[in-house]
Amino acid sequence: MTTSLMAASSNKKAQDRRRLRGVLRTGVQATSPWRMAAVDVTAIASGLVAFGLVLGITIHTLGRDAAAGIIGAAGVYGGSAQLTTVTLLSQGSTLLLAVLSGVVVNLRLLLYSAALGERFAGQPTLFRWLAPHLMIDQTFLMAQGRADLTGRVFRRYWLWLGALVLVVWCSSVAAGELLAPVLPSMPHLTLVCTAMFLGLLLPRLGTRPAVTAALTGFITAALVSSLVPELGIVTGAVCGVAAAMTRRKSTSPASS
Amino acid sequence: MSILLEDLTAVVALGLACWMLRATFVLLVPADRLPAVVAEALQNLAPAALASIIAVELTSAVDISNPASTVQALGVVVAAATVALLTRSMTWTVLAGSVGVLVVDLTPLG
Repeated sequence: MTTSLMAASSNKKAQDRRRLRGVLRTGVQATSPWRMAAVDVTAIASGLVAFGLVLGITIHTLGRDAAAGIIGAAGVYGGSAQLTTVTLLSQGSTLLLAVLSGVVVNLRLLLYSAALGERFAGQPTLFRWLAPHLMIDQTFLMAQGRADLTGRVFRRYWLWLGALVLVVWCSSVAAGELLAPVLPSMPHLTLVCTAMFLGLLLPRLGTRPAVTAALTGFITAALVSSLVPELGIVTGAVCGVAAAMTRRKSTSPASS
Repeated sequence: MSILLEDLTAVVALGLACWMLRATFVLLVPADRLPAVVAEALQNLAPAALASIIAVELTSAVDISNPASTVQALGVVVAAATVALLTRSMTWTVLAGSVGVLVVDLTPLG
């Protein structure tokens, strides 16, 4: 009797050890939020640095204020919107029009907010007021890739992710402003960022609705941005999502 | 208005407006009140948004008045896409893009 109890206990311990090893090898639970955030930021850092350098160099080249550029990097926390606003101001546009154009460029943040909103629900009030500021393309995509994180773990992951991206981003913009006079001309530098987005996109094309969303988004955005550049991304995203929905409905068992 | 004041006003106003966009479905309209069909549709937001961003960046890189630059840009993107397809690794994809940019911008090959 005692022997069988000891054997059962030993088996259970062995099972626990195996389960723990499995979690350590593959599971999210074994990784702390800051470590997950650091891994994710490392993956996207090169694209961020390239785009930050481009923004910093552009601010310097256009003769805009360097300090305001760095404050904007943290305060706006959206490179394409800030780039649009700064460029329009340097071309003599009115302040209101320049800001509005930047807002239009960033309209996709509304979609990100809708997609991530549920994970912010039930979080502490201070987090719900301040943490949405950390929502940008990269943080949205990384958080979407960690869909199993909820509650306190998500909160800590999000704060680490946003803070680390913010540091990389602001440093890159500052470096661009500082190094602009000595850096050689690199008109294609922003393509490093494009490569980063390609690297993020391809693993997400695992289903037909996802492929439909991407193809529709790409074609729509290309067409719209050749007419109204500021509206390209948001229009492409909305049309892509709508097309994927249609595709999902047409292939669902209920409709067949 | 000085450049400093104009730029500061612009980034503060833009920052506030962007915060409002970001917080809309966190503070104003709870995400759980979204219709189920919208919530389901948003599952494909990531590929749609990513492809749109790539399309816009490519469109801005295409310059009809400068065919050489356009070909170089497309070459870099095609190289990065090929590496992405073959490796499915973001590190290698970004590395391919970075090497491509360095080649077309800093070497006589470009």
